Amino acid sequence: MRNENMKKTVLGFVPVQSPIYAMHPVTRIILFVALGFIPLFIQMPEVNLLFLLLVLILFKVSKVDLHQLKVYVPVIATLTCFLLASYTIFPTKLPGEIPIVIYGISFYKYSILWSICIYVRILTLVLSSIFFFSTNRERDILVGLRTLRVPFAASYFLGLTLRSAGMFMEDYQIVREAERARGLDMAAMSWLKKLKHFPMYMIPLFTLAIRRSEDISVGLYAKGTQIRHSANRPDYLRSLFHFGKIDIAANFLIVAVFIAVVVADFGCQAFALHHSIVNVLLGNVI
Amino acid sequence: MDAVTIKNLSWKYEQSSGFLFENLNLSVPENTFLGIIGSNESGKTSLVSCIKGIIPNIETGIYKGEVSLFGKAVKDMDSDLIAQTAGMVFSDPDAQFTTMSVEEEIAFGLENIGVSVEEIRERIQWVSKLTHLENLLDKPPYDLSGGQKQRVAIAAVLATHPKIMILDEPTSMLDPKSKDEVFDILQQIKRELKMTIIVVEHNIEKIAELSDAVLLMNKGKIIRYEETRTFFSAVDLLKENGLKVPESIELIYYLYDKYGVDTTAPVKFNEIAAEIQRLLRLNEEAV
Repeated sequence: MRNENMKKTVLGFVPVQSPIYAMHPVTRIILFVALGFIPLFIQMPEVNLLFLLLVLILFKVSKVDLHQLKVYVPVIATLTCFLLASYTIFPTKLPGEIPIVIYGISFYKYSILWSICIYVRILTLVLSSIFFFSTNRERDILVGLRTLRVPFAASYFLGLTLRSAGMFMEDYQIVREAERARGLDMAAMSWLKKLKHFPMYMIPLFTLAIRRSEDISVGLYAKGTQIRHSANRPDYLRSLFHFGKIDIAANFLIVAVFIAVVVADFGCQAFALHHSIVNVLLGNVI
Repeated sequence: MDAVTIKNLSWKYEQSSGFLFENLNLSVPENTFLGIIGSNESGKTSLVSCIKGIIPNIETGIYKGEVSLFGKAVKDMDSDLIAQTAGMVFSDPDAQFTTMSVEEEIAFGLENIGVSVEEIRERIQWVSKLTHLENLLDKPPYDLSGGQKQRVAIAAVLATHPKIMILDEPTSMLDPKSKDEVFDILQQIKRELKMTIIVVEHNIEKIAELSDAVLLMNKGKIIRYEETRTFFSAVDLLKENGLKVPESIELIYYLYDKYGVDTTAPVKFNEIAAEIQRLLRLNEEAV
């Protein structure tokens, strides 16, 4: 069922109204970068879990419907399986460490400790990214980048890429509907058959994509687009957003927290893994 | 002054074996609503591409002769100067939507030609009111119907205040309701704005209704180019060139033949209805 409080973007769903929209897109990008980088300086999983909790609170405060996050569950599940499997199959072990053997599989505590640390870090990163794309429409991202002096050509290229992704998805739906209309029942197919059938979609989709890129090139010419004069180009989109006091305060806070975490990590190793409760639970591996 | 002048134009696409146009000549007076009709592959889109400068500036091939817009040769004009003189709406509503919202899409063309931000704001307000897009400005392309997207394309062109507006089969990918929306907008533009409008269209009834002049193409040649009433008087010629003449026009010529009237028939629906009533009245009086 369609949620009236959320609206669709190419990259997911964003709330129709949210307190975060009071912030300039640049502030939102800086918040995203900070949320992405801070966990990299923290090895202790419990601290990163607190950080993850902060991201979830931000979701709530920003009025993002958490039910929409269900679509990302397969990504998180895949990530979990992939990380745990790789740390089991290719373990990181201390010299002379004795493994715990369960059903013939060797588990190393040091490897388990690191896998938990990396997993929580990546999970925080993934949730931070989802938060960014759940609170920013495509135009916000472009405005943010242009305000940060990213060249027009690069930001416009990103915009066109997003537009193309949207068209690709629309075309995909049309091709699927056309197949259904001709009696193809994907639901009755096995996973293997579905997998084999998937490349069949690619042929019409890529043909359409090539034709559309030609049409768009002609469309851009018709609109008088010239990349070489882009330095003096007026920017209407940017004029719709104002960098206010709230942005100055938010950026100050974000930078202050970032510096504090970096200093705490490099200065006194406050977030090192050997301080972690997980290390204690595993019998002080480090 | 002529808005469009084509002198001895010959054009051959790089991949094709022969010339599509050979020594083509055409003049379109300023502020004319010109309808271009013809069967598929007759050269309609190529003709308007020449007027817009897509040929030869984007398409490759052999180009001879000259196409001028208000006296300036298009092959010597920059794309931004052409965009200020002649705007173009294409048939595929998706392929011309290159940004992520309606407002941005209208602003994009204006930014390209260097209009100031304040002026862009004013023009967006004006054009969105004219094309009934006020409530859609915030919408992304995937939230719009085909008809709405085509209205956005028309609005984006109108906002640049071009002297010439070209529409290449603007309704070919739309459902009947959306087609009507587009034609209503065209009618409104014709009524309220002074500009040259060139429309390539298969819907001959609508062309007859809206156009000041009509041009028929076949196999790269201009078969007939006349003021609308005169154009439709050659019913047999139009049929020979694969066109389906509107039944209302055929009917009135049938009645003219029957009652021995020798004149050019009206082509607009209301005028046709009034003329039929007049003919029937004359017939009753004669009886």
